Amino acid sequence: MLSKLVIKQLKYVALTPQLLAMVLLMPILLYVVFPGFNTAVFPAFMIWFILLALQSGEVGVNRSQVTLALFPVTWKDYAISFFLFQVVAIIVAGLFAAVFTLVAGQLGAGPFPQFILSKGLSLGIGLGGMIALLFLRVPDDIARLLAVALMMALSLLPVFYRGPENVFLPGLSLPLCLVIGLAVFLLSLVLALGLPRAQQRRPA
Amino acid sequence: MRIVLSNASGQNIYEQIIDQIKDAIMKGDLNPGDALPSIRALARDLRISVVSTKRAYDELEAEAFIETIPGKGSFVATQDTALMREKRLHGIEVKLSEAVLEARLMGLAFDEIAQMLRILWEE
Amino acid sequence: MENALEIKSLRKDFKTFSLRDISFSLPKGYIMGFIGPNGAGKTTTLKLIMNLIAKDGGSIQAFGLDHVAYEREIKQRIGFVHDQPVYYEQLSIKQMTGLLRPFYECWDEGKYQDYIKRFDLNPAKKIKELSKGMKTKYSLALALSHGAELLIMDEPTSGLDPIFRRELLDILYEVIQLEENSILFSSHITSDLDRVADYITFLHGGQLIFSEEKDSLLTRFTLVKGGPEDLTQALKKDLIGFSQTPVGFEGLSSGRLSGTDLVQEAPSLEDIMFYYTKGRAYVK
Repeated sequence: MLSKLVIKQLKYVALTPQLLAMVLLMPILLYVVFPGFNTAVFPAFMIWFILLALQSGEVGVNRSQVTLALFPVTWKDYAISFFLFQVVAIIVAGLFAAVFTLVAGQLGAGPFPQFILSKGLSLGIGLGGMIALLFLRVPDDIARLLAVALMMALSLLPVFYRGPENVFLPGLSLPLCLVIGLAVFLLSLVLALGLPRAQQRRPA
Repeated sequence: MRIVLSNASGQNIYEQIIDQIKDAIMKGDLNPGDALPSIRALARDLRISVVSTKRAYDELEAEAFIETIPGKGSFVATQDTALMREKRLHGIEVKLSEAVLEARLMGLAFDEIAQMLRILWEE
Repeated sequence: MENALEIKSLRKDFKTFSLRDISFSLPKGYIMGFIGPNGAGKTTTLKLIMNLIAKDGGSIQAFGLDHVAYEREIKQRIGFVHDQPVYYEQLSIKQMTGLLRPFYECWDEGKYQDYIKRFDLNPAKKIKELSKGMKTKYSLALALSHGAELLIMDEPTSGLDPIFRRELLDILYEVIQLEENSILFSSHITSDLDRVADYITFLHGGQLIFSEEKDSLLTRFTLVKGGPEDLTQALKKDLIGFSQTPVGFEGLSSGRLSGTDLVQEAPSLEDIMFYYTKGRAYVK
């Protein structure tokens, strides 16, 4: 049942062209068009951006209610599958970022800092967990606003990042990034499942 | 089989069904051994509730007009015509007793009620 | 005989509204009408059954199984038609069904296609382009295509033209030909229920007023009518509710009144609902 839910969500993303465009083309567009984006940290930014953009689905639709109303699943199924989906999303985002660095490398951009992908992914795991927790605890419209706000804040990263060109986030070692990422992901999972279901409004 | 329900008759729906099936059996439109529609099919065809048709069939069965074989359905039971006649006579007697009681309570004389009966008979 | 649905002492508290001590059962193979004015708590009750909102107290069992402990199994066997169906609006009917199909063990594609054709639905149409009536029809097609033994519908006939409403009733009759199937549906349009319902459950202000066989309801209550002078204080006390006009009155009594020659006839469900909710002092 859990895998079915994840597949369903993937199918849904694939069937929604606006979402796909937002997720895949937007970062590329930003990279090409805006001068501030031509920096080395772009691949990490891209991973995080994709994770957030995947949640920017339909406005006005309360996704958990739609899923629970239509599909023969429990709320717990839905919550766990959300986290599983994030895992898939991180992998996919990582692949895209990897392809990007290869292609960009061929086209003369770079070299990209060391650990840009590995640290980006590690911290991305934590971000993925937080996103899941957010969307499971807070009404969809508010969660989406927060996600968009976060996307915009992240967009400033490539512009304002001041670090050495050859190593990404020298202050945090790779193992530490991984630990932080996993810890945040697992904590989010525990909170999402452990806290009682968010209080619903009375049906109209 | 023919069943036509009326909203205006003042009789319960299931009572109408019972009466019409009894009629059909006594007239010979329905013969012993004939299959009756299932309670659900009848409810659907008459557009009424299953509980109503069930009640009608239950009562018909209690009065031995029909019998239900589990897994097969309901059928017209073999009728004992003498017994049936007696049952119906009894039914008329009961209804007349009601009328007599009412008439007495009102203080009507026998002639008045006989008159009423004649008029109704000739309608 | 098993009950398709058994609800005991159900309770749910919201800030401004409470559902209290709701208990009723739907025996397998029958149709139950769920009536009550707007805001009585019908939609809340139905959503509690499906665990779309969490109950605060009481127990709900479907097919003898607890509705939370066996939530997945129960949802396989229940077809739910919401009063405001929500889907992934950007998708077409075909795509939406494509997402749903893999989840149901007893999915019947033939039945589904039959209903789509019968309801005149265009599978290529996007869900956001459907009218409310068409969305309801789509919901119905889905609810009837996965082998559900219990059909729960929340105001299915609102937004449907009278012709389709009859067709809906025909469909309900078809469903109920099988003894394993049961139907629970809430409706304002009590004329639909007057005929087809086996049981009626009446909710008002978050409380259960009655839940019983429709036939006995219509014999238990009587509609009393008379001239203005017939409405004595004594009579007013005996009536559940009444309405007065300059030329007379009409009221609901539980039980026939004896020793009177006022007009007394069988009420409709609408009459029963009206006088219960309007109470005593309703004067036009």
